Amino acid sequence: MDRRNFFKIVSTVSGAVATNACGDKKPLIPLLVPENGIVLGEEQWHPAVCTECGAGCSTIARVMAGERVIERGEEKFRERIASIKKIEGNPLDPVSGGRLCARGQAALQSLYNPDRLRGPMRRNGTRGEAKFTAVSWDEALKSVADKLKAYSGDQILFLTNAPQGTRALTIQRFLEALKAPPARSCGIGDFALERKAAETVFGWRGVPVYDLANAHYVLGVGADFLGGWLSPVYYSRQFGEFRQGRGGVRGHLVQAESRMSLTAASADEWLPVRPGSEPHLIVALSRMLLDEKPAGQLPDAVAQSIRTADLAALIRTCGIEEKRLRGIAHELGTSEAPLVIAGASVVQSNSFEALAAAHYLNALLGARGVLPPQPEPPSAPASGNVLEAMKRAKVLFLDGENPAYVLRAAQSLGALDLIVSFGSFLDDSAAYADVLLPAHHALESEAAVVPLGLGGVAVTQPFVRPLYDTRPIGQILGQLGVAFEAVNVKDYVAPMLPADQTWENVGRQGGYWKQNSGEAKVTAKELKWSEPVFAGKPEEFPLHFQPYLSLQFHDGRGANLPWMQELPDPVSSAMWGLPVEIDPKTAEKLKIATGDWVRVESGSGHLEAPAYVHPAALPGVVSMPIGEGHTHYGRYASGRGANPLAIVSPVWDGAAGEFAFGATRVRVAKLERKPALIQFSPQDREQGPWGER
Amino acid sequence: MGGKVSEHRWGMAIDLDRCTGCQACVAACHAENNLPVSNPEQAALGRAVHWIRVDRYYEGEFPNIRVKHRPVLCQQCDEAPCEPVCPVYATYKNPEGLNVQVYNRCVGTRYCANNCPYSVRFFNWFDPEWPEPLQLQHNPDVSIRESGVMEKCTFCIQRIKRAEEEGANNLQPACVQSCPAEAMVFGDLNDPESKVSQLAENSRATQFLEELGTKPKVFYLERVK
Amino acid sequence: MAYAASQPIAFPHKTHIQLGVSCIDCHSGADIRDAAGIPSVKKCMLCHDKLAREKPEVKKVIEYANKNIEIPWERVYGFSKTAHVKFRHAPHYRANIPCATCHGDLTKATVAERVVTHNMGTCLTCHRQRKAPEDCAACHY
Repeated sequence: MDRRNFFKIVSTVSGAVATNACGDKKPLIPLLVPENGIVLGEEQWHPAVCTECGAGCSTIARVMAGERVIERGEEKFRERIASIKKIEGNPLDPVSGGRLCARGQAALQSLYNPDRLRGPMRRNGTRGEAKFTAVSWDEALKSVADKLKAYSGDQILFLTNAPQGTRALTIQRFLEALKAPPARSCGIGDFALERKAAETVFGWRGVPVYDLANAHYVLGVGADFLGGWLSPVYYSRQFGEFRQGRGGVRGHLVQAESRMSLTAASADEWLPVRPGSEPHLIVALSRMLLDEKPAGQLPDAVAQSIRTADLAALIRTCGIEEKRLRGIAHELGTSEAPLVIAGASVVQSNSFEALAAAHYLNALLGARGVLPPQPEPPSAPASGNVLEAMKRAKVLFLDGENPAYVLRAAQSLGALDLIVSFGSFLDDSAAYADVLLPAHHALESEAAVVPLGLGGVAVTQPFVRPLYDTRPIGQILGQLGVAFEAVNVKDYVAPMLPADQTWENVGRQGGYWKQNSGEAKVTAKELKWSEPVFAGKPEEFPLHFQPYLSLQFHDGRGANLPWMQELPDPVSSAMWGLPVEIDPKTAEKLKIATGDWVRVESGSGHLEAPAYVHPAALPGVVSMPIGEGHTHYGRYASGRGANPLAIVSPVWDGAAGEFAFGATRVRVAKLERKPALIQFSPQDREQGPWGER
Repeated sequence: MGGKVSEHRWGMAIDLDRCTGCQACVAACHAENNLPVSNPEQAALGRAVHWIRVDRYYEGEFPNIRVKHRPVLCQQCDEAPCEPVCPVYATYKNPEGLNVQVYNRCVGTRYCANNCPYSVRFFNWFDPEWPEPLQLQHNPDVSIRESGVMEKCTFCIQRIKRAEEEGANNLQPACVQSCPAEAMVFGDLNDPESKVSQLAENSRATQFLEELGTKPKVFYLERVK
Repeated sequence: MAYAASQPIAFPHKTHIQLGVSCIDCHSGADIRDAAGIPSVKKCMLCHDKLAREKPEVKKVIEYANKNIEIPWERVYGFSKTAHVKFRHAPHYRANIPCATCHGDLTKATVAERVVTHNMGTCLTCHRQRKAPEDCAACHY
């Protein structure tokens, strides 16, 4: 062995260059000998899995040396550690294709967030006062385990936003051992309706996958697939192909939505349908098509329902000209590769019916672009009426979900006997907790996640040491006095692999993926549609209120990321606080200008926020992105802006029992207060000095 | 500044028919280039920094209204209006066609930002704050700029430098790398075979405010129809 | 102008070089990375675990190692943050620039001292002589 190689063996031990170069000296804090093998200036890339939403994108993380200051007793030390510098999409993953959305990239700021919980804590104030004292793991775990013994069955409620994978399965096993009901999610942004519609119409378990890239003429209904619906990175990539990736064919997109979403903005035509008229639009188009062509795969009973539908009434409800609808029906009917993509980005009381009707319309069209999902196990998230479940419960476990924010559940939280939070942050709900047991951050954990609907599995193994005194979720649950076996990533993934894939390979690549294929065969026989139900009388509350999943904060969980607070909102260009979007006519009537403070009031409450007069908002429909208005969520989010979900009345989807957060009516009034809306580009650029191009 | 004439001339093409306005590029730029994060007070004064932004335009009236998105970054103009107004030569054209901002030369007159028709230059009004341990995320390949200097898009020059050593096969600025719809293409305009050169010749290709004669090296492929 | 930093240990470069240790054995990033690196005390202990343990200066090294704290070497070369210099060792190594060009003749040196001035003048003079890039953005970004 030559000398060079002799040294190479230990070259994983880093050099000790102080970051203070000549000239600017830092206070002399001793630098600890690094325990990890990171070399100054060297970069490594490790596969990871994004958990900022449920899509399950595989990512890669760039790891280099970084320095932090830690305290040990009275003394301060500097410590050189392997730190993540950047997150990109995993180029081997067909979901992300090496690309990644804004939120996925900002996941880094959740890992290195200055407001992360440092270790276990116990409440020392009244409920919701958010006063906690640091305790040892032993003490914290024992206090939970002792209390837990007294409860069973649906006295225990576990809320998680873990996507399908090792974490969800570990939680499932824990709950089975506890004889408690399966875990639930809060029902915003987990696409339970899309699952239920696919199960009802096709008998599938999971969300359908749409082959957008190969379609020629696409009608999107209520699905903001370029914004936050299902898997935005996947559909954005598909959209690029659909538009300009196929030489001679340029895909044409017609988007029907009651809001100018990112998808509607990118569409060739936008159909501004009235809120809750999505089923009517789809049935009207189906009726027009059925008048001209055979029923194809459509079940007789469904075809019969459509034929007997009152077309004029349907058209009236959705508020689109008949001529325009006939044109779209014709284009769909004559397209070589038509496709209808329906979703419930904003859930109405009849959204399930819209999704089912769209599946039938695809069958009528003979559309080939609806692909079956990789079947999900029965552990897939159930949401439903979580507020009801919370009333029955005595013990609540919180894993990433924030019912106080999403469901205005603060009152129910106050009535529980025991609340335990495993999250990395003290959020609105964790503020009510009795014990905080912070688990490792996703970027510090091992995990396998099944991409939403798509075939395969994304895998990550720990590659940076946990920053704080946290523990793996499986270990924490295993120490609560319940005997069960936590899921190991290798054991979870190995049985899923085809013969040509080894675990070692999959671990190195960050996962394995397979193409979805198969046919969509309608197994249901029924089509219904109903008039939407709204909370609030029109005379009292004349406007519709539509909270929607924001690009930057999703269901609110991204609000503590400084990059996302600083990201200009794609609609209003707002930063550090989000506005209420009001159409110009309503704004004129109420004498509201962009930036003015307004009070939005529903039968369930009111909020105050600046207004953004949106030239493309539907008259009488007020929208607001979800994300701001946290009572507790660290320095970047606490007390900033308003939470639109806080004034939503509890309306539940009629057919599927999901939270219809778009079904509340409101009234808006201008407040006499100094205008305040922070925008990056205050004026829309068309008004700029150089004219429109 | 002279030196030899480079073989490269870096440019970018952005297909607006693909762009969805998702802002992945904006986040990527922040992560890659250690962009300062402001706060509500500074942001309200117009002091937030985004080397790339997504402009939005409204066309027509409801219901026949369209919204268009356009990612705007430094256009790396061949005839850059920012350059001649700098009294200290802190901004200039480098041999590879990049419009370079030299931080240590900048004295903060802000004439350049004032003269930029694209509003893509940003002055550091304050020293950026990175509460521990957010500094762990800093990219060591890029300077941290201090209060008093101007900054702007560099076409990710640190990646260009790295490519000198590791080969340019996969050379992409952070924004281009992240773009989910693959709307952005980066490459060498001196190489007629490069994808960016070919897109620049596309019938839909335009330059932003080209009538100003700035000769940008960013080409926009207009949306169809 | 030699700048003598007050180092925690009187490290003799001369002695190590005479024993046949080359620069990149300890400054192991100089040939392939941006940063050359100052070795960790762990690397010192690879040899001093056995060798010369009785010498007073080596005893200090052992003491740091036992406390698991890095030796607080004071850097003698480098650029302040506000210089915005992204110096990369690797291209200079590839161009066969001897280490001594910028770091002086360490075969005669004991404790590292700044014997070569690193300012834009020295950099540019060399760059001009060798027809290396004179573009500001070659180093400042």
